[in-house]
Amino acid sequence: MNPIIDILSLPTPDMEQLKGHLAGVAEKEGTQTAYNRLMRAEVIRGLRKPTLAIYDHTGHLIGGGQKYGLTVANALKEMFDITLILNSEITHQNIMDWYHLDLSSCKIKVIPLEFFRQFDSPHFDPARVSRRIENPFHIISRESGTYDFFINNSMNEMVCPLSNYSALICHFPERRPKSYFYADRYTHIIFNSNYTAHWIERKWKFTPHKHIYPPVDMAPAPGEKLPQKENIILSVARFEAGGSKKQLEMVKSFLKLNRRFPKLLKEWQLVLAGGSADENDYLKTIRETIEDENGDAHIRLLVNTSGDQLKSMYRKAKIFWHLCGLDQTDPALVEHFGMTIGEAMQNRLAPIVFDGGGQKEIVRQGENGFRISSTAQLMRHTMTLVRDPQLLETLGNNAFEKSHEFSRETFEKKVKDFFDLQLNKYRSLEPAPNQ
Amino acid sequence: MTQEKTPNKTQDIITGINRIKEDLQHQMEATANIGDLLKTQIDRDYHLDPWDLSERELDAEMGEKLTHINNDIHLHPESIPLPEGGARAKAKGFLKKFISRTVRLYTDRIFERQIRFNEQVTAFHLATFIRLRQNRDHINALRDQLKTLEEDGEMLKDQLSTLKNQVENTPEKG
Repeated sequence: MNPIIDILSLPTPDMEQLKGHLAGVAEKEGTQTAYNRLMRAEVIRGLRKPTLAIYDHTGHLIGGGQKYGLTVANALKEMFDITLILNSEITHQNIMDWYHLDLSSCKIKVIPLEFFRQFDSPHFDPARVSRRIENPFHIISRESGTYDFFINNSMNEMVCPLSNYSALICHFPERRPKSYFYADRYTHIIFNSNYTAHWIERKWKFTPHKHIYPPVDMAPAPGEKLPQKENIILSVARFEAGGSKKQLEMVKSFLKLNRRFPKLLKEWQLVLAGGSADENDYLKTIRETIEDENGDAHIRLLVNTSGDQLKSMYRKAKIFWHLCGLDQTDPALVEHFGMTIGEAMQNRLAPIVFDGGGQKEIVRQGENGFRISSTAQLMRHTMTLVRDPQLLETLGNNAFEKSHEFSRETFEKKVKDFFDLQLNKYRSLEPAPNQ
Repeated sequence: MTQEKTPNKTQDIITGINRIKEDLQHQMEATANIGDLLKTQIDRDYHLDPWDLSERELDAEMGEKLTHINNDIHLHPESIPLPEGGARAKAKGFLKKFISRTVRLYTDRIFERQIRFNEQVTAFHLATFIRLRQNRDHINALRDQLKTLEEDGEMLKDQLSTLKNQVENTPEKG
């Protein structure tokens, strides 16, 4: 590194000398290494703003993981020249509509993956790639080497980072180290919860580096006029075809409670809100269960509801149910953090959630909610809250206090502080992490 | 210093650097292997410990292995093709083929027995896999029954508690 800085520090740098030196580096350590050293020297000498790319192979779909990566971009857009790398088209307007983030100063670069054209799916699933074929994600690996900093927000360890600095944002380590596994080649692994960190250690056999909870921004704006709270139990989760979010169990539990406590629950309503790509069989079963046994129980389904209506439900509801992970043996199918729980807590709902996954970190038993491991416990704690409005309010207020830990402001500050440190190291003559 | 405020000399440096970067990029594009870009081995084998796997991963692993052993049931060696080339090479090839055909009179019997064994083993593993799945379904059904009993138990406890409160709060008749 120093010879390059020395050459560039001269009043009239000798480009031929620089070229010669870099040729020597390329010969010994590879062309990418030579390129990286030159990139870093430019930033150290102040010749240009550092560049950063964030890659997300699912960036064209709406989701919490995608929001995480784009909020990182939002936090860093003053510090870096940012490029968002995607495999399918989206626009700045999409980002604004979906996440209320103004990333118009960031470039969008779409790199199509030819290998996935043969599958009739909007998902570029890395599980389809085996050692027997050439890694289709290496086109992204190569692209990563043209930036100072590269962030992979993909849950896709098949991208080999070639940049000077790289970070892999891990929402959960779904894949075991097998073919084309490069998670251990990143400078830092950023993880979203201690639950995720535990499984990174178990599955990938190394310790991840930096914990940053996902950004949750469903809190009321300062001065916002809030509606009166109503007797609503709310659940917000996708209506997955496999039933992993357990809405059917919620419906059955609520119906049982209504049969047992008709007077106490007369004014209460269960609202299940969530997205569904299509009218799948699981959703159909839920509807049929409600119709068959509804009686006097008030159960409402809000499928693919608007953001405004969802917000309105959060403002009005008192209790939040979340059972993802119940009866589940696969750790990948347990909530890694639970963003909707965070959203509920920001609106002073008392959460009753499954006792597992990332939920254990954010809901403290009896303090800001309840954690349960059976539908029997779910029903018991719900009736405790229905009978004790004072306790319900206390838990809701405590949940709100806890929710500051994963607000968008907290998230962006942590991201800025972390990357500020990395950029300062990059600008100094400290040995580059990937060299 | 940003590019907008850069005096001419610095702009020359930037232009010169960009040319060098362009050259390096062409070289990188021409390098077929990613590892060669860094002169390092980036791919390696990983040992998978089956004890570490979750239920779903074990299912997938068993399914994959079952497919492999099913594909490898038949293990007759491929016939030796006649070589191209001069008379010597062709003579060598004919000799190899003759020896192979002679030996096969004996080895074929061994291969047939091995193939029958492979078929039995594959069928056995498939049956084991199916049996495990059935056991899992039974366990899930039992678990659902237990859940219902637990819920009913909670309801009964709650009813008893309500009755107890009612009895305690009912004034004694004088």
